[in-house]
Amino acid sequence: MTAPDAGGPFTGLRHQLTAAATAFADSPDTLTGILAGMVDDVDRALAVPLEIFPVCHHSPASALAMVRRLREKQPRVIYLELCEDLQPLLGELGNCRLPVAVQAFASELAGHPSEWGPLSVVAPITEASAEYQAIVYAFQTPGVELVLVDRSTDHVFQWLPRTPEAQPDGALQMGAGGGRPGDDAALHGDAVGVEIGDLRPGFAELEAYLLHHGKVRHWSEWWDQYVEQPLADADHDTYRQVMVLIGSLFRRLRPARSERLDRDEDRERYMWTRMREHLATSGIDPSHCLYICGAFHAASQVEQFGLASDAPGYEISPRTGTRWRYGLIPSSHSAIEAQFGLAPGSVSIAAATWTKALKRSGLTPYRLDGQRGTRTRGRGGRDTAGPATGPTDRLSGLLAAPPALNGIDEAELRGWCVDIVRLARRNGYLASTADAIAVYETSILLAGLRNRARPTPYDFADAAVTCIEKDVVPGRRDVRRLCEILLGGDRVGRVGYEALPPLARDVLERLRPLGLDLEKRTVQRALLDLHADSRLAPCSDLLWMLRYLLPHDAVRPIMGERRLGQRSIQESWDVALGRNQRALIELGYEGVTVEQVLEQRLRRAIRGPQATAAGALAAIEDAIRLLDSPRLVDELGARAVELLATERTVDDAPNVLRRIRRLLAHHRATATALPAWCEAFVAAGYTHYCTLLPTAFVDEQAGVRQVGAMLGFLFSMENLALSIGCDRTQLELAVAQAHPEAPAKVALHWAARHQLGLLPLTELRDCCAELLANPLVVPIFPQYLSGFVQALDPVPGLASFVVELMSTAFAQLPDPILLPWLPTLITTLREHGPELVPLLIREAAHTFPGALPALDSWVPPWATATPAPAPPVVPAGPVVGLLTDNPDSVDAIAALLGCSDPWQRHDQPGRSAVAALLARYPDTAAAVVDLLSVDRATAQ
Amino acid sequence: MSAGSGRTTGAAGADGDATPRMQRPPAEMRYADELARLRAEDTAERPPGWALSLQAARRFILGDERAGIRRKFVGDPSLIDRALVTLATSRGLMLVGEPGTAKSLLSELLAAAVSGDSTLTIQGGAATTEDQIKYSWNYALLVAEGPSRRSLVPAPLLRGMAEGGVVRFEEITRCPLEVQDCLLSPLSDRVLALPELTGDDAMVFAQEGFNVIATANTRDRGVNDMSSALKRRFNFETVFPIADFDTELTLVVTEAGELLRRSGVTAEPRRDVLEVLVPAFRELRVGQTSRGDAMEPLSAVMSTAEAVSVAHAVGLRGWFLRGEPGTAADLVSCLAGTAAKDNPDDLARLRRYLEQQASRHAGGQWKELHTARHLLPG
Repeated sequence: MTAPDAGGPFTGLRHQLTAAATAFADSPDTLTGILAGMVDDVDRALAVPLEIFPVCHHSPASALAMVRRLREKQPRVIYLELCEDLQPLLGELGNCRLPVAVQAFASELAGHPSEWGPLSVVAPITEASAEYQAIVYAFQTPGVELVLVDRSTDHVFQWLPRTPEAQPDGALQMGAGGGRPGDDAALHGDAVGVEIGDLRPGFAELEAYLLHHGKVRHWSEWWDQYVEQPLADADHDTYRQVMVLIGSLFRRLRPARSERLDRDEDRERYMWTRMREHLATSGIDPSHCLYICGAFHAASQVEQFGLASDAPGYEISPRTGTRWRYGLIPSSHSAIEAQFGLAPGSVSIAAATWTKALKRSGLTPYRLDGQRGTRTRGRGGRDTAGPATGPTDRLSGLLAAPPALNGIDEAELRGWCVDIVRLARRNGYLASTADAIAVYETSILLAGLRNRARPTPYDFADAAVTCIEKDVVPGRRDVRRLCEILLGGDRVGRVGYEALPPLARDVLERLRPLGLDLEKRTVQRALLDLHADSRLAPCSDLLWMLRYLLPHDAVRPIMGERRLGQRSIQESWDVALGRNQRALIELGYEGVTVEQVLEQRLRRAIRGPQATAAGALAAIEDAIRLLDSPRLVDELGARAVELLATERTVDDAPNVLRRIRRLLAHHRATATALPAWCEAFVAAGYTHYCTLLPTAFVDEQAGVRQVGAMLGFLFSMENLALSIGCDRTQLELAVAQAHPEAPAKVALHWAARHQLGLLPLTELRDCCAELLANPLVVPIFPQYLSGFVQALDPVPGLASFVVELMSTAFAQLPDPILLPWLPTLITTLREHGPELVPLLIREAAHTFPGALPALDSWVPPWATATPAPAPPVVPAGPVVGLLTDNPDSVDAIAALLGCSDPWQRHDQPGRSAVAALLARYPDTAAAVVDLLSVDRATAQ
Repeated sequence: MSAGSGRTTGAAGADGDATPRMQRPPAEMRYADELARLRAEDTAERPPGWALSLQAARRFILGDERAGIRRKFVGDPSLIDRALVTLATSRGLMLVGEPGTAKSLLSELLAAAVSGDSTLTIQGGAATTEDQIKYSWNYALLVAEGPSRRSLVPAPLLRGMAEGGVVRFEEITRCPLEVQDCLLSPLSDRVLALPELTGDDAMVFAQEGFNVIATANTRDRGVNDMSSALKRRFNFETVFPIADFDTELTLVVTEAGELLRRSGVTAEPRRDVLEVLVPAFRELRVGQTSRGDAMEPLSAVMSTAEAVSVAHAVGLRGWFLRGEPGTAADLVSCLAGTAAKDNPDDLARLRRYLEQQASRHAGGQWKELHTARHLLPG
């Protein structure tokens, strides 16, 4: 480490500060240590032969100082504090409209906790930033090398604490992932943000103190007033010394040994090690190099700091096996503000300040070829750096004088006042010229009250809100938002075609027949008449795939749908790909074409640990709908069979049944034979559900709907299953083994037995009648009824009986039991309506009278149908004949067995008890015969 | 100013003589010494007709430790900046916010700082008439002499215009719309016509320093909504409740202590009791406990001002009934009247809070509060 020169240029300042500390502080030693240490830091940073250029992020003053310095010094090597693995992307900046963010993205993690995934790191870049100016200079000046020296994106996550509760968002600046998709503030998604020159007080009290005494409301305003504006036109030495001083101040006034500080120090070791390595290998003179880093790092205390240090290099750990992918994504001022906790509108104000400062100073900024706006190059010639002179103290003067403010000039303020009133009127406010005057007057008075010579944009915004905002916001935007728009507005970047990944370019090319400008950020309507223009069919296919892969507002079908076996001939789409460029670019990290990514996603859906058979069937549907690839469908189908066979629960049975029915119907309608996987799935399902059926009937976890769906599968797929070799005995055994206890499942079980022919309808009716007759069971009768309703799907033949049973229940159940159950019935029918209601309605229509008058005379069919008496069983056959003719043997056997009744011939009615009765009272029979006018002889 | 000097005499009588003492003197009397010091040290430029410069007025309200000026308003300092600047322009200042957010206190402080007199006050209500705002007549003189300056009885608006002072209009939205609109001409043209008089007396022109500070509750929004014409003559500023717990607690401790001293209670309020009172108020106000559990908020206003008044009542109860500072049990008794008022639903919510939530907080006072829950009336 370089020791500060005790007798250097800052001796006077050091003495002054020490004297001040002694005079004012309660514990002068501490304050002296801090103040003198700050001056030492400045001294030490300036003494390093490799020029350290401290910056602050999104600071126009830093950018201006950088432009001036680059023009003056013309360094040959620039070391930049940015993740070293992002370097290859920087060349693509020329194809973009700033602000954009350089992104590293990883979805397949190795060496990082899987719950952190997907990992995403963004480094937003705006034009009004020192790093951008340095990057452009390096790219446009021949012979200049740009070296990124900060830790790689992989190390960003490697260095995070691995405790179970640690999350990336706990230690890093996460994006506005919670914002509404489509908001400009949510452009970075939930990525982790890295930036050059993050400079902020280390603890809240210090920031609150600075804000209070600075008479400002937020940090951005403080920075703008006390650092940004005084340094806007400062010379290089002043700029550098002040920035290092501020970096040192915030470094020294922060909680000791915080994790953040440890990480920052590791980064500094990393950067100095990388720079030393590069200097050693390239052999370049350090005086021709420039090290651009945050002001915080310029006041570093690590042992590797400087070139004179003999401390060993930092041992850099290897990267993990995580596969990182890189690209550029669009960014915006509001996204940057949200990502890094800056005040709303501050980056826009910085951009406006940058433009104004350029105009005022006459400086020409560096701008990459092809970038929007006037193409400007840095001066081609290489000026030699001026003679190196030792540092002189520029701090004393600056610290002693009040900040010189470059407030807005009068004409500009007048313009703003008029414009804000115009904007406010357009947004529903009843603002007038009088308000413009009031805003002007209030701005000036506010600036005066806050000790500013001229109003700043923040004063103007405050004044506008005070004068125009009333108790109600009439439109979508309030006055503060209107001020932000007026003061520069949010600028949204765009990644140019050339900088897009291949997939995104491919998408844009393939959608070209739509005739839309897909880079626009507006929502555009695309009309596709597939019948009239065959070129649009591939576009439609692609749009449906994008619909599946991208956020839902990226492409949205307005008219037309694509289901199994169904394609619309006309479609209408709302396309907003320009607004969802980030999503499209991130899709590009996954593959080269949309088809490939879709295939991967479908495969991933069925290979994951959470994959289910129903999920696999859904993937198959999507594969057929979107890709029409029999090979993939077969592969997914085979996996679906595996998944089904290994499932231990029947939770998904309804889904499985619904989807396999749909797929079977599709295949039967479109192909001559069912695919092999379908047959295998049905066979496996038949066996699987037969096996699980007895358990499911008694398992409390398995619902009635699930058991109903299992029975539905078994009964409705029975024909197919038996034709491919399944055994019906399995099903009969399964039903026989089931002994449900829950009423609804008992009803289902009865229905299953009825379907198998084991329980005739009359017996079923008797069972239900018994239930209704039993006062102890009546309260739970609705549960039986629920079971029968669920049985409608597996046993549709029971529909008339269910209607009968429901009618009986409505007629007989007391209201306290019936009424609480009715909502359950209604919700069940509503939820499963498509399957159950049509059946019930059809059957009810057959059963009940169609018109109201017929109701009075209507008799339920089940009430009139008297059961036909069973025909007497008359034993017949040679054995019976033989026994009848020779009853003695039988009587003897009966006697041996203890039965005293003699053998009776069944064909001899006279032997029966009835015949005996009639014989005893013949008059009755005769009277009956008379009445019936039957011939007496015949009667006898 | 005559009115001010008259009251000063009254306040001075409190030192020992038998003159009745004011319960709550106006701000310019309570802080007379601070105002005098600020006026003496004030070298900055003053807006025309102002008693103090903008900077000094700011220091008067927000405090200045070095000069020994107490902070009187706890809130966003930039709100004070904007309010003062508004008063320096030709716009009136409208303070809106939830009840109990110290709007009236702020308007009083602003009036005292700007014109040295905060008593030009109109209290808005459904029965407020133009006479009470502008002027009325001494009918005996009117009958005897006819309309003249002598028979005219000036109301606060006329006095404020004639003397160049700040007029406070409390609860302006509770006044009928046509009564509110009598401010239009004084605010825009800075003139008030007296049609009963003739000649020079027929017009009163506002003197430098005149302006209007109005206050309105957001809960009363829509009762008598202001006309657009009047709205555009006011700059609106919203006063928000105190967000920071420590700040609110400190404020309650200070204000309750001050009120108790004025009530003759020599014992300081117990901080541990107030440390129960303030969180209880916050929880009942927002409907969420400090642990994040949802609960039913009270429909009554549970502002910091109400917390101060409960703390005051607790102190009085403890001191005058038992001769000691108030306890958590006193708090239960005083809460019913403040928080529940006549609303049985609120009383039930308060009872549920004391039953279910108070016991979950740690600390002796919370325990005592829970134990004393049966003291809740009803």
